[in-house]
Amino acid sequence: MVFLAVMALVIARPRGLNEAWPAVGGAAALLALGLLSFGDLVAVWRETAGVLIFLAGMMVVSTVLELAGVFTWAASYAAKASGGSGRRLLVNVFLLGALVTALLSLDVTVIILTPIVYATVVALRIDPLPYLYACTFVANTGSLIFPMSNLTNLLVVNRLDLPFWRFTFSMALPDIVSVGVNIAIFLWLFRDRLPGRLPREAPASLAPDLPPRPFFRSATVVLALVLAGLFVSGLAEWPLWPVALAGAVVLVLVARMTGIDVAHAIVQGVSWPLFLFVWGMATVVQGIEHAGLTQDLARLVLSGPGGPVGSLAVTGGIAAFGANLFNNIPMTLVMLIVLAAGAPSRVGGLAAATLIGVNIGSALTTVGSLATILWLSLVRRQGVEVPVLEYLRVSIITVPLVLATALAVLALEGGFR
Amino acid sequence: MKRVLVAVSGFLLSEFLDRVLSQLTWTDVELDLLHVVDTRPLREFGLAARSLPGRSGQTAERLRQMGALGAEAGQRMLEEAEAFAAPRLPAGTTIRRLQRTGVPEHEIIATAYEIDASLIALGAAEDPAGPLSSPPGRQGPGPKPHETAKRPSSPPPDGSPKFQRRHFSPTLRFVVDHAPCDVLLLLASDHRNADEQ
Repeated sequence: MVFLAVMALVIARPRGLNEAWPAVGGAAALLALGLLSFGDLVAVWRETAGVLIFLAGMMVVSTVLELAGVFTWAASYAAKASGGSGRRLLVNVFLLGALVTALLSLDVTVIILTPIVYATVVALRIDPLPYLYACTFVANTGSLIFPMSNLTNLLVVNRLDLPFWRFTFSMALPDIVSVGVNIAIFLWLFRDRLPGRLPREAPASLAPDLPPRPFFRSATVVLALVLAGLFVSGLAEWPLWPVALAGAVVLVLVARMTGIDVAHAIVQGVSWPLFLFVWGMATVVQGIEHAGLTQDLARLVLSGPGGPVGSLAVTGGIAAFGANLFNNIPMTLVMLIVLAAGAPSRVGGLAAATLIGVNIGSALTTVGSLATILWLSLVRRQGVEVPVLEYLRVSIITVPLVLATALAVLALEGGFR
Repeated sequence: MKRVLVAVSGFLLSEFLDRVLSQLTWTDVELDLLHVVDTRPLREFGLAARSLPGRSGQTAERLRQMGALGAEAGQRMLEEAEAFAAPRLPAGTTIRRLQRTGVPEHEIIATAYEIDASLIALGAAEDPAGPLSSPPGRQGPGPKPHETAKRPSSPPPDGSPKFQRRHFSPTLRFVVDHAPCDVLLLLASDHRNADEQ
């Protein structure tokens, strides 16, 4: 009941209520009901602290990179490298989005890169819709490859103690093929909307006033060092959060040395409630585990229905369904409890299928809620315009195809190697 | 007094306007230049961002910035369009700049009703399969700039009864289907694959 009440509030967000408060409230309710002890709350904090500190560090890094004009430069470069072709520009936006998602996370692609791509295509005076869809879809399809590409990946890697390189080795091919299939589908879906040719000369606004060059250069160098540090730490199986934190501190110092005030931007750019949400949801999910509510799901997933390939498909399908029914983060946490009960030799493959399900599958309804969609469908019958249904026209074709392809590639790889 | 509603979105703006102005007789006519800030990309961004927990504050600010950017770009286009059209029209011709926010095809039709337009002028893309003025197998350069593409008056020279099909964007199809008045559809003749203007 507590879990369902929390999820109902997270989805409905009455009066704009931030998702963090129902999650924290749910944790408090479970504590009051005696389903969790204070020690459980602390244990969840200890377990998620590394992930949350890493997230905070990378949010600061991304915010400073945005101030340094790195994303604007990249989007402008993508436009120029399109050679005047609208179709090639769509491919470039996909590739840029895949790169940003892979290295900095899907949040950065959605929250920072998408508005910049919008500004770029508006400056080019072309229809921005296909390019915005490209950004928001590649944020999901391209978020399988590295642990830092998606919060769900971090949670899985952290909880199941999966090595960075092993994760990347197994997820790289499904990620690359997914992005490729997504590009092909979009080139077909938006064939009537994509301009064959872009204006010969981009308007002046395509080359906006960038911050001072030293700041841009320094920020780019620090980014390269942070990424190198993350990969080295990952290969050495060291925790990632110290690198992210150090990168954030160095970038803030670099900004201050070049006379750029980043304090306000950081306060605005870091999603503080997300930390409470993740901790609160992890605690609530712990509570439903204590209540034994995940046992049936665990039996279904771990019984290996349909052999190795079938169980990957079932796991991916359940994860995708749950991510759309609730939200991908709570669903990942639920699936982690289920997988933690499985044999170590099988857990890797099922974890990969889970991530494919929650990362790609959640794009089907975008708001992560079938309930919302159903409600909006009812509203539409009463004559209210529903933008979500426009989105569904794209997602209902794209997501199942990309999801099935990614799971098929994972199965061909033989699961998690 | 007749009112001509010209929907502009910037791409090939001057060529498009030049052809609109040259194809009509501008006596007792008023010109309404319309730009629509398309809200669908903004809604798409809003939906995607809404799926990220704890990001609502940042999403609202980004949406506000994007909306302002789209409106500002539209105002610039309207100013350019008016500056281009004014000297080419008879002195005293009324030119109005209109900006709407919403789904372009819906707003174009709604505005046509609202101002009781006599004509809607729109620019259209060439068929991605190739311009209609170039039957399969034709070699050589395409039409010159400012030259209107013409539909072949007869089947291709080889006598086969094949006609190329044009793929108009959903916006154009909707306007043609729902317009309360005549629609002037101009093809971006020398810009093969160019999208609607």
